[in-house]
Amino acid sequence: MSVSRRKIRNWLVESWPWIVISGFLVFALFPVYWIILIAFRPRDDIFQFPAALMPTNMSLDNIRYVWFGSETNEPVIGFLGTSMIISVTASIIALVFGVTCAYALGRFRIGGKFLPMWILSQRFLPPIALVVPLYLMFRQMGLLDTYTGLIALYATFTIPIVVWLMMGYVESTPPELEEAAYVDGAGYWTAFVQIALPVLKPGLSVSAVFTFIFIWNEYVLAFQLAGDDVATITVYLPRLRSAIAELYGEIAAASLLSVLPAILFAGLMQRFLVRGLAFGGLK
Amino acid sequence: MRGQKRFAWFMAAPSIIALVALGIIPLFWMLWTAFHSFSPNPTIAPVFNGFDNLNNLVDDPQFASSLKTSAMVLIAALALQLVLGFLLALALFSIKRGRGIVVSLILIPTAIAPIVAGIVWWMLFNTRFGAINSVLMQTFGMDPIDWTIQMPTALIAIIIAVVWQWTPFVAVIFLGGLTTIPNDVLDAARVDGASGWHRLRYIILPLMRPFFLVVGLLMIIEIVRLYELPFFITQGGPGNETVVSGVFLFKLAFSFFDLGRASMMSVFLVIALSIIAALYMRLVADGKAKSASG
Repeated sequence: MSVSRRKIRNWLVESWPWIVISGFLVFALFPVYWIILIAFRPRDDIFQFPAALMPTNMSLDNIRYVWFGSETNEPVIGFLGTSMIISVTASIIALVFGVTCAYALGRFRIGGKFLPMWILSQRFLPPIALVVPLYLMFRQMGLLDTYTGLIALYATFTIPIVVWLMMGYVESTPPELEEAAYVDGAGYWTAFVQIALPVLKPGLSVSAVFTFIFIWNEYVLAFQLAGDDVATITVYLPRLRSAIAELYGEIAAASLLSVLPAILFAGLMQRFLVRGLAFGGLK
Repeated sequence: MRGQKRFAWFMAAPSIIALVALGIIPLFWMLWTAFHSFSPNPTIAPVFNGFDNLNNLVDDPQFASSLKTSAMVLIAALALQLVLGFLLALALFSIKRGRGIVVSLILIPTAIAPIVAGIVWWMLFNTRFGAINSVLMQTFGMDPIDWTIQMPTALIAIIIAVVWQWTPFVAVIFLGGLTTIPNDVLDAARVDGASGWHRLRYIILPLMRPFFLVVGLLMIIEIVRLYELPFFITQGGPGNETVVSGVFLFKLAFSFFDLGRASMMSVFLVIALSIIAALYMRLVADGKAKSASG
């Protein structure tokens, strides 16, 4: 009796991490499983009570309705395209502005302690707190429902994230290389572009992942400051719900399509995380 | 040296200009609009009305109830996230193989758009066609529950969705924290005969304190901006029981078009968040001072 109890105890001590992890994986991934299941389930099977938990019949109808459009909804591709244009453009602007700013702050120490603190503190202002004045500003300036308006906003709101990430990278690279370039007669800009930037590349890809996901996933500003002529994928999804019938399968299919780019980038983020963890292990 | 500084300012200028134009100017604009009344007709100019917006806001029972709802979500979700996130981080820290793949799988909920998270949980909690009632009925023989149209289950549904979306993020921050604990400290404790529980209680937890504080503050901000999950899962209902502060702000601004009062609400949220941000900066500075002296 006591031997088997000890065995159980030992087994628990050995494998508790995997018990916790498995439990959490079920919690984290079951909703993902469900959306995939509904996306590929024919309409008749979706509206059954109680819902079948295992895959039933497979159907590409939902994906087809969403991709090509139907009587109840517009095709998703235009919205994905809008999201892609906005996310990529705004990310590039945020990266260019952010990395130059981080370099200026990290290398040349301008603005003392105040300037970096001020920029980082902007990270704590969620867009929702500013949406009312931004709406009024944009209305006055004719920027409502324009690419320019949304891109400018998203670039600005992600600059602090880029600065915050890149300052760490700038500070951890030694300035000697650039100093050597100055001695050889290189200007500050040349030294930055040709010597500092290549070293900062890993940090830039990490920043790109964060800004892209942030912008791709944003809903509040995309809906309130745009959403008619310029409508992103996050604005498209709730529209399916307000249609005549609740387009369960279509919503699931569109959600699935909308999530893919973010998941792709999350895969990239994971590589960074593992490297970050390895760094931690080196200490 | 002078040329260097000038060059540096030139490099930082675009970011500073953008942040002033779309971060600072709206703040001041908001201060102005918070003391004006707006007509739903945009061609009629706003009228100064002193502290009317503030008085109206405070008198509105939904103001207090939205803050109370946000506080309830915050307390429940934060408690669950800290406990689950830390447990998960400890588990991830203990395994030797497969950490990378597990972390990337676990992070999927955080990488998903909040609006999609709302959609997913709205589907899962659906009374007739949802998976949760299906599990309850088929596995446990229970009656279906009207999750999203009654209290307290509507609020519980939102809290579960918040925990689902953010616990992975919390766990990864904690995992980063755990890897900063020097191995020799833990080894020394083990040699001295400290049990697993004692190592956790007297070494790991005290060293993790700054990470708990950072996570707590980030999650407060996340709850203040919480909008998509209640918007999709319960639409604020039943009644106004799940109207959190973000949903209330939106109702004021874009359902009632009471932009003055909505601005006052924003001012309130910004002041609250500024206090939180100041606290956070203090903590970061403290942490840096400590690691520099240690």
